[in-house]
Amino acid sequence: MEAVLACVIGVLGGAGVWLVLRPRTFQVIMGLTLLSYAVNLFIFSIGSIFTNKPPIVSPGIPADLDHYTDPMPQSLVLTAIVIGFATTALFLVVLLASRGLSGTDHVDGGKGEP
Amino acid sequence: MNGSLSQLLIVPVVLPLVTAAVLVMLGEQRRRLKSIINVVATSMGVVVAATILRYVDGDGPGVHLASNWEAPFGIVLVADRLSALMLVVTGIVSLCAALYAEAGWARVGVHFHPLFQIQLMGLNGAFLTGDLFNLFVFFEVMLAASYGLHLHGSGLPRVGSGLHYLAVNLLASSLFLVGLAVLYGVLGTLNMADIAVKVAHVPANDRGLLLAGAAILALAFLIKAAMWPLNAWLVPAYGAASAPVAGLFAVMTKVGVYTVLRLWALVFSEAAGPSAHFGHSVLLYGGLATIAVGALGLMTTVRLDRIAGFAIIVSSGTLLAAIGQWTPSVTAAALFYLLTATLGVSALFLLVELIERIGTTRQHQLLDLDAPGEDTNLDDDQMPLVGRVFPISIALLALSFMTCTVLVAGLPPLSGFIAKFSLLRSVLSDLGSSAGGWMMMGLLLLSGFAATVSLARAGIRSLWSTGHRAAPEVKAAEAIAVLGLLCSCILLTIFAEPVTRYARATAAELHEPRAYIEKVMSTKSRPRSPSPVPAPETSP
Amino acid sequence: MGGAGLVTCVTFAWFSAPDLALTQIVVEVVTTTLFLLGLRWLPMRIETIRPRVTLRDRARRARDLLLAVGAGGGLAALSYAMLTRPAPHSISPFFLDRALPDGGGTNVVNVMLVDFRAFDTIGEITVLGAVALTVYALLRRFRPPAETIAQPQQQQILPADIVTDLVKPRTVDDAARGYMMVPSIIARLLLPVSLVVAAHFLLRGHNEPGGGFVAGLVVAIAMLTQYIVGGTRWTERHARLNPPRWIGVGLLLAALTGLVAVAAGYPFLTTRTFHATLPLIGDVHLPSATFFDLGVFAVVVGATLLILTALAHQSVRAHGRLTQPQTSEPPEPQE
Repeated sequence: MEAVLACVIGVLGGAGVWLVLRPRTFQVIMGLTLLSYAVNLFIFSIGSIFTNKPPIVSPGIPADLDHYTDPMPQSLVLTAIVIGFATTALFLVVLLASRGLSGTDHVDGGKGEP
Repeated sequence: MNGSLSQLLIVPVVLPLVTAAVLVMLGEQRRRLKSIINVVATSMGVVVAATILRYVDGDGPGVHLASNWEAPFGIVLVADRLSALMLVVTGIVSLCAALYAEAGWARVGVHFHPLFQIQLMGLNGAFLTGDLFNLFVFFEVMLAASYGLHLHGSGLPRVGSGLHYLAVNLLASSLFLVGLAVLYGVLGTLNMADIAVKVAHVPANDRGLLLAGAAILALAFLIKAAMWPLNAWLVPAYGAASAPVAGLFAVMTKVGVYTVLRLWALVFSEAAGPSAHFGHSVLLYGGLATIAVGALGLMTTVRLDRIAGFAIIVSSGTLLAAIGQWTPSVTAAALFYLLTATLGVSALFLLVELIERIGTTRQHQLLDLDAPGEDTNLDDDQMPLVGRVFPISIALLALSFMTCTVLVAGLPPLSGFIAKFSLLRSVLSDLGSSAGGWMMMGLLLLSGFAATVSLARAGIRSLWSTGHRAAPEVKAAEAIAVLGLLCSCILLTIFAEPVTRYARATAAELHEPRAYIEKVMSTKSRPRSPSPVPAPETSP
Repeated sequence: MGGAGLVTCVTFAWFSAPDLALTQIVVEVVTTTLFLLGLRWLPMRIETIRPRVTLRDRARRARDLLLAVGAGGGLAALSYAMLTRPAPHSISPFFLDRALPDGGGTNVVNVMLVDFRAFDTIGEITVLGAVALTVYALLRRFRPPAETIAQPQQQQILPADIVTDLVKPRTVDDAARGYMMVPSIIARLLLPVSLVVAAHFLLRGHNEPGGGFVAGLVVAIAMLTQYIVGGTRWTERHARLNPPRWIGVGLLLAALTGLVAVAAGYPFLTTRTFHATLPLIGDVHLPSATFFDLGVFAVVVGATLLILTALAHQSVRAHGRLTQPQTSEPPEPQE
């Protein structure tokens, strides 16, 4: 299970980086989104992975890490998701504005190949 | 006394936040009111920063436990001498930038003032926080506002370089998160003081992970601090930003340097056992390479805004190399240099725009967008920018530029020289014959030479040979802003003795982090009044 | 991309992170809508046959591939290393222990967000607010690329007077006609339901998965649906939202909740649970973090709506020459 998760993170991250390095604008945005998923999953995976142990305390179950998943990475990821959403939205809008002002679709302003 | 210091610590963060919220709610109409609120709030920030500095100098570090949870569980705000110093620098630069912006830039687009205040909040929070993830959040606050400020006014050069700036910083943020996660995974805590304590006890087979995490974190910070080869984004971005924004950005680069300094002092100090001094050679040689690249850039560029950008790179490299040397006297000299470099380069950015106005009409300069056609949706009124014209504008600009040159290049008699001299002296005495030491001294002198040559050349081109071009309009607010920064440098020169004493005390604190750690870990939370435990709700 | 997001969401849910799964899916919906809005202004892909792939292109591709594989591999290796170690002595058991007695809630993640690490959350909502303001300011001077100014092909080929299900949103007051009528009625009826769901999430967030973020995004999505089915003008005529005001109010609410604690002599953002026994309702426990969560909710609604409506307005505005003559300028959308 851990290996699968690690592979997923790697694939998402690699695909994200690949897309980010492409010249066309929409691919860059896709790449950034995938990269942010990869990073979020990575942070989440820092605490050990359990199924069926949500960090919602119930009385009677001792409050330690054997009975609940680690809540700290989860709160970090929540913050990261929201911040990532904001910056993705901003990036998209800046991309559109720059596209409109420069007239080419290439991030580095290269001569427009259609 | 300590209680009031603790209460004061949240003001640099909450005051800009509340101001920004109020400014947003005021809508887009009451421009005059918003300007006044902005400047007043920023000035209050300077006063608070100076007060914090006075307290910390007298009593030692101050700690504020946000949400009343003790370290290492809650988030702590810590003000030691270094943080207080950075707060004061931020306050001065931001006040001058705010004044400058009121002369015209603030009206070019909407929502300048709230974004300005949010930027201040991010900067102050980054300097005050003692928690690693909180540092990330405040970095993001700072960056989000900086994107907005950078793009303020639109136009192709700004938006184009803004895109690159945004992309590079998104990458740096992702790296920050990954490094942070690894560090948490290995050490189990996010509190900086606690990390310092736990680093020494990391088991041997985890050390590789620890160092990997730290290296990734460092990468993120060094991108921000513009170390070579990660600094290609800086010169275009800072050059395209509007003048007051660029002036404020001079502090942003120093946040990267501050973070490196703080974390390396805490985490990889002597007490870290086998992990001590990890990465110091990278800092040293990277810093030296940065100075070299910056000096080269200075010599080869003729545009004033790019000169200012390269000056930032040189100052950043100098600071990083000095941190890499890691002896108390070098660190003290570096802190003095940080002060003067930030103030000087900030003034340079403001001046650059004023000088570029020589020979062009003001209207054209301020709205350097492509001419808006009737189909663009501008409905902020393009008020004619009347103001009191400074009658001796060219003389003022010339004198200020000369002062800036002297400051940035490190020529006598101003504080730039004092800073360079103390750096040279401490490097010579501490590292006498090591290769790193010699290279550093050589590069310091070389960069001073390069700055002198390039600034003089630019100054001659813009100021001496103006021929019959019209004198620029310089509004009173802009002149006051530039003069304010330069005067603080002159004050720095006059009061070099007490400032150096303070810098030495700061360096001593940094090299011996036990006082910081103990203060943070020992601050107790205010006891809560007991409340009955609520019965847990049964979920359907 | 939507698929990847969905997979991430399922991963979170499977590995015991219900709050994260909720947040991920609502953020996913909003992001997808955002991208669809943005697609309007990107040019169509024209397939041409490139003469040859140059060596430079190939070298660049190779370098990119190397970087991508390196980054992905590095992440995977790190992640695997972290996953297979025993858990560290982390500070988390403290949070699990104290969430209910001191924090006043059983959902530890939410209690962390609004109590233990509330200082982080204040920064986070400030980021949202700042980005929304930036997007708005930038889009006020937006000039779309020349080839996208003309209306999409579907709208161009219709003569102006035809009565059809496919209407131009600029020229009609209510875009819910014809085959859009059924979805629009459902969407409009669902709006109050969505608001109730959001309120439910908001109020129960402290003890069950939910919280201010999810509630705010649910409300934003509900409003977005109205925009989608009814068109911009109809929605703005019927609902006077002022997104910047929501942002300002939210930030103030969050800051004031923190400052109230300071006034009482405690550090910033200290929470407290109020207990009262109301006559008909019985025992009521009100953590002060509820007000903080309310502030978070307001900022999330305001920021999301500001970003998306700023983009939506670009489609309603008249840009340059249109292929159809317009009788009157569409009214400027109010702030």
